[in-house]
Amino acid sequence: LKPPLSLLESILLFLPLNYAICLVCSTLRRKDMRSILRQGTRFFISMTVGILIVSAVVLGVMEYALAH
Amino acid sequence: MLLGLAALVLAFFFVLVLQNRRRGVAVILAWIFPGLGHLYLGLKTRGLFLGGIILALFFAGGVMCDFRNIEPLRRHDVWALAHFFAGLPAAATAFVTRHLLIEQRRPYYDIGCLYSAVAGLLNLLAMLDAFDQAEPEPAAPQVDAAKETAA
Repeated sequence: LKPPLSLLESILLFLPLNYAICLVCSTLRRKDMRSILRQGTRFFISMTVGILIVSAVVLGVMEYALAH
Repeated sequence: MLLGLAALVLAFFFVLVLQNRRRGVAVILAWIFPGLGHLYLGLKTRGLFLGGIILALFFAGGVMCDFRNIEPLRRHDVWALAHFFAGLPAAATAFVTRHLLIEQRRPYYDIGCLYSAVAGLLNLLAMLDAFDQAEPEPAAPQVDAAKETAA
């Protein structure tokens, strides 16, 4: 079975969605636009890095399990 | 299932308006169109920002699916639970595209459905924020009748 999207495409499509979620969530916490953007970007970077690390570990473990 | 959810939400709105008119109207407007509740409360920047993000996500999802992702009854009853909270844009898209059929498998179809569904769920957050931002109306000042008669 061939997945409809490549890994790179999936990551690139996930980024704007993630950024929008982070911006809306930071809007709920902050009042002025500058701090909303700053906090949203900080959320976005930490969430993206965290999710990419977890995904890489899961993919690595799956590849290892399939290879052995 | 969807009709049950709609009835539940409408009953909730009714109770909300009865309890506090300003708060209820803000939540209903936020549901009908993303950002409108905040504009009603006078929070222009916040309303435009939230509305812009939510509508951009919603229409990006629509473009990825060729606008065949919003259909509560025939195609996507589960996604429709999330689309329900996008209000008027989702209803209008469902009505306009009701005759369109899915003729071929699109590679971006699933991610497009996800974009629109997340837009609906983010609008739910915006509705809760409108509820939070609309503070209860201040109580009418008590006129001290005794003081007035003394004066």
